[in-house]
Amino acid sequence: MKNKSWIIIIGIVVLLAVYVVGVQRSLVNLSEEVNASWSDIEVQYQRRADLIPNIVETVKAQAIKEQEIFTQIAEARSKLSGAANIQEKIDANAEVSSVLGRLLAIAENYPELKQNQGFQDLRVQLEGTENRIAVARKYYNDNVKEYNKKIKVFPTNIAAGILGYSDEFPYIEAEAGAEQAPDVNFD
Amino acid sequence: MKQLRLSAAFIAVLLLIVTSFGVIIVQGAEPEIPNPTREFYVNDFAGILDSGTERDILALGENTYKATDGGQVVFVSIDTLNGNTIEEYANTLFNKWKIGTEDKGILFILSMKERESRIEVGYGYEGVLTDLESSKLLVKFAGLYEEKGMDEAVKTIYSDIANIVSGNEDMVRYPEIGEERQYTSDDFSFFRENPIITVILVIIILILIVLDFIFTGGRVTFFIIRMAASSGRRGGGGGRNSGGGGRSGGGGASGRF
Repeated sequence: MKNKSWIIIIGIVVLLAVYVVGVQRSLVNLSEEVNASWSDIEVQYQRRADLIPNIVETVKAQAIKEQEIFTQIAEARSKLSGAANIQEKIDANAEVSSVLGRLLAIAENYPELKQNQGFQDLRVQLEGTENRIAVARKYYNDNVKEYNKKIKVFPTNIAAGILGYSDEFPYIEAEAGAEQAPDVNFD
Repeated sequence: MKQLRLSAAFIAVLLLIVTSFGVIIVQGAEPEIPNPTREFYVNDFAGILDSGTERDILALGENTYKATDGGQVVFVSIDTLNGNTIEEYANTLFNKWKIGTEDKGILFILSMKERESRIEVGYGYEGVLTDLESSKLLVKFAGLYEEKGMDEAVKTIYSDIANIVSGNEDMVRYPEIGEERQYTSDDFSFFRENPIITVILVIIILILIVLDFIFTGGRVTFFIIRMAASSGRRGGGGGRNSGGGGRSGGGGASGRF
């Protein structure tokens, strides 16, 4: 009788261990995927950041009234280079996006800027990059959702807790700047 | 006592099942995408092209598939985006249809109600057709549409894209005059500019062939000929009329017409 209950207890322990190891494996895979999709976004963030100096230069060449926008861009850029973790990078990029959106809105008021071929080309590239960010963001958020669900929802949350997985990945909100950017008009 | 324990265990299991299924994932509203037509390269859902144009595009699409080793250029016209942005719609359609082998795919899409256009470029062609060039093609499309009508405009832009992905970019004219691009002339310019090296190379190859026939009875030569013949045959059976597994990360540009 005693032997039997021992076997049952050992059986349960083994099953639990197998389950915990399974959860761990899937958490490792999922966080790999989150990290991979995050680095896809970072590539596009970098691409956008690389466009900023050219855009600023082109706009500066056309003496505009709203000089404060350049200070705002400089601030956003320094925040960007100072960002250390994912959340800070997301926030800094949201600010870059909104300040770029404002710059484009300002440019709307200057016909000579609107007709400047160099500026239009930069704008097309910026739009392309913003769209890539939007697509990459969708994949990232999907992966994050799956990961966060695993560490939050019963029963996997218990195994995740035992293993020490408790930090959720941050979601990325849709950036306002990109949607505000007016359509390119070549007429 | 035993029964009580059993029912407790039963309830526990039931709870477990309920909670694990209780999490319903609410997906964000994705655009509803139709299935591709049998022609795959031309999907005129809005009915804006005449059948001759469709045939031309289909033939060009199949040839491009062969010429580019699996590259696919797909044209789609739809009535309406149903409230989605054209960027969302194009990207969802591209990835659902899996346009292009090894991500070498391009989607040229028009939505008639919104008068919006987009060229969506797969990962594999991002370096071949840039956002800027896509945007210029769409500007060119809008102009052609005004001047010469839908059939001519779609056909021209489609063949421009086909030319670009087949390496004949120098045949494509963009609307601006300002920007001149330098193109490498063609693959054989080296031999034309260095006739002595060419002659030496030809002699070396001839000597190798002769040696091959003397020592192995021409085995290597026949092997090379067979390889070349089979790789030529591979694309011979008409272009593939379904997606090649391609993905897009949102490259390309949007426009209006």
